[in-house]
Amino acid sequence: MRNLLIVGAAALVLGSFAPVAAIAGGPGMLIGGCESKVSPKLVQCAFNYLPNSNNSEQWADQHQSLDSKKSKLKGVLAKQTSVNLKLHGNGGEQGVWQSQSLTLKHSSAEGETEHRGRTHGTPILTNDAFNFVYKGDNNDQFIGQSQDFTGKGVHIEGTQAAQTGINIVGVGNGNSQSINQSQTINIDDSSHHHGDYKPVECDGKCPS
Amino acid sequence: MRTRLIVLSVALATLTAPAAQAAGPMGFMPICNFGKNTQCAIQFVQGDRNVARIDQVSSRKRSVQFAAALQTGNSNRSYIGQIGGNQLAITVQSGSNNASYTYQEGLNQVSATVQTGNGNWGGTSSIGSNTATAIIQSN
Repeated sequence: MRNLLIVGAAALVLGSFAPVAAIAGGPGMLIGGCESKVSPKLVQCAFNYLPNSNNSEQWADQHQSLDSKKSKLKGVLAKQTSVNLKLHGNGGEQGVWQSQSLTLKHSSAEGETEHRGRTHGTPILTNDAFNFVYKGDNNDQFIGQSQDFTGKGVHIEGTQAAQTGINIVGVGNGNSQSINQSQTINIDDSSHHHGDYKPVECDGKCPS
Repeated sequence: MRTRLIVLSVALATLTAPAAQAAGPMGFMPICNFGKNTQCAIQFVQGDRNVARIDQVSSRKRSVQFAAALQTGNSNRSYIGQIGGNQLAITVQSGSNNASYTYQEGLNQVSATVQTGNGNWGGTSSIGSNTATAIIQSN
């Protein structure tokens, strides 16, 4: 029964995080599995896996920075995804550091565009972090996430920022779990009024 | 068997949901994504003498923050601290001799602590306006 659960959990992670092709395709396919349908401008994806190990360390360290002036952007602008997975082990560490900095000046940033041209709330900044130990003692799980979003004269639709951190220890004693999240968002109130600002139509390739 | 079912359920809820994959960028974690500014933290552990801590800070009043700590076992410790906006904290501990503390400093804040078992200790501290806290303990 236990083996079935372990295999099932691993298959679920691999199956949902990176499609089956990732197993044969290598890291490139893994990154492909992390992308969304709307072609994010910046994508970072990390996946650490250990089946059985004691006193092991699994870390993902991701940092993104994007400055945009006088451009029109569509889709998720920045996205970070980290997964640390260990099935069995004692005394190990799982850690994720993620930071995003986005500055938009006189630009527009819209969410995901559907077939009919409507937009819906795709976050502009996305941080996802997941640490998982199926069974183990005295493990440390840490997630640190920060988002810094500054906008002036911008046109924004959809969710502006989202970050999610999840630590799970299936079974174990003496484990330590920690999540530290911070958001600093400074956007002109006028930026939420649609239609006032006419962005330059150059999809992020305009000279600043 | 019950233990394994709990672990499997949490893993399933966290890792799957193909429909949610198509719906948003969360992909393998469809649990949290509320809109505008969002922060989401979830911790789960099953066992004894575990420690869990969540800190959330937001600079904007209209932000959403959510934190949940779930612990089953004995002598576990949990802390949740939230500063900066709309924020909800949930702590659930099942077992004996557990302790939890929730600190909230911001505008609209709700916290709930549920403890089942003997010898448990729960505490909250709220600074700001429109706060509501609840500690529910049962043997």
